[in-house]
Amino acid sequence: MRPSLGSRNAWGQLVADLAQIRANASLQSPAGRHAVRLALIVPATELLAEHVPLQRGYWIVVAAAAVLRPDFGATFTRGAERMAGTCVGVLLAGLVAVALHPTGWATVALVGILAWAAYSVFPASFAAGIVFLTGMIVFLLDAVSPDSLATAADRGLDTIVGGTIALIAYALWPTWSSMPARQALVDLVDAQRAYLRVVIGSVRDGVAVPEDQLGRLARRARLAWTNAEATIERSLTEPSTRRSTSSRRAG
Amino acid sequence: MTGLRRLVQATHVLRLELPRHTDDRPVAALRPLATALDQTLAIIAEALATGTPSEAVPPPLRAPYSELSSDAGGSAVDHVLLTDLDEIVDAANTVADLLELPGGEPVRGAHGEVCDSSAVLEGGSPDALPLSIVHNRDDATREL
Repeated sequence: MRPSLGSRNAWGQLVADLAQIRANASLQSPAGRHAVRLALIVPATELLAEHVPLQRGYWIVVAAAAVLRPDFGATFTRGAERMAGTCVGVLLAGLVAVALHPTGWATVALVGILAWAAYSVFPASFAAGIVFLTGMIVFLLDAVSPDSLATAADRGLDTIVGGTIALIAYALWPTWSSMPARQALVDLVDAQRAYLRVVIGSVRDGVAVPEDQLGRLARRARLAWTNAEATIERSLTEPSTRRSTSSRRAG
Repeated sequence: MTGLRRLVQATHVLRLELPRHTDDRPVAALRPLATALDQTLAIIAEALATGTPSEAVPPPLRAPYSELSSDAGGSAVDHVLLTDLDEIVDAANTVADLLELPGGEPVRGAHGEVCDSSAVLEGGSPDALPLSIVHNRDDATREL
């Protein structure tokens, strides 16, 4: 019995997913390197959290895992934003705790306001979102730990420790985009060449090419363009000495 | 990317113009330019893959283009096709020039003047670009 269209699609998707998993199970792959980095850093920070006298040491683990990203720009930009935002948030929460001593429904209202502020500004500014999120978490924990000042201090210290560990880990074993950027440009030129060959061939021979063939080539070229643009933009966030000549010229 | 973007866009335009060109009239005079473009893009891809300027010399593109345009008076080659091809030739030459491929041809400016494509780099060096990329927009729900 022939498989139905749906099952063929599902089978094709499964094959594509397995191919992607296989490709990522390599230290050459940014995703594979990211996975190894996380697999080492998360248990290491957990061990650290258990052996240092810090309340809520698990925040060290959370911060390390959240700061680590597959690429340089996201790790260092977001890492710095997260740590700076947390510090400001800790100060904000501390000031509110000292000045207002919120309890009961006041705390509930404060958590609501901070949650609204955090999730409203996240799309515009990650750092500003983290400021309000930190305040929200501090007062959210007020129900189980009424000492908001101590909670804020723990949050700030643990985030800085975890974030710093993540940044050091990335700096020790970084992933640079120069090779993926170069490959993405090669793929783009190859895709464009195939597309152009068929289009010009069609004009030269005066013969119409089936629309599905043209569509397939155009989609491949568009995908290659998108990949190349994203990879090169990522590469441009890295130190200029680490960029490939191709991607330096590609801008 | 600027040169490649022009190449991508001009190819799309040419594709959209296909119905005008594929009714019943083959354009045999296009063959040398089509072959030269294909070879040039292959050499560009190779240079990008190896990361070093290629030893292979890209074939001239302007000469077959000029032959094609000089044929235009007495054949089926229309001005829209020539304009698209002019853009493609210039985009390919720009990329080849930026990659310092041997045998480079002059690259035209926006108004047809010959210019040095490295000026594009000097004027818009990626080092001077703002880091305007938004990476991995965090899902705020994961922040806790």
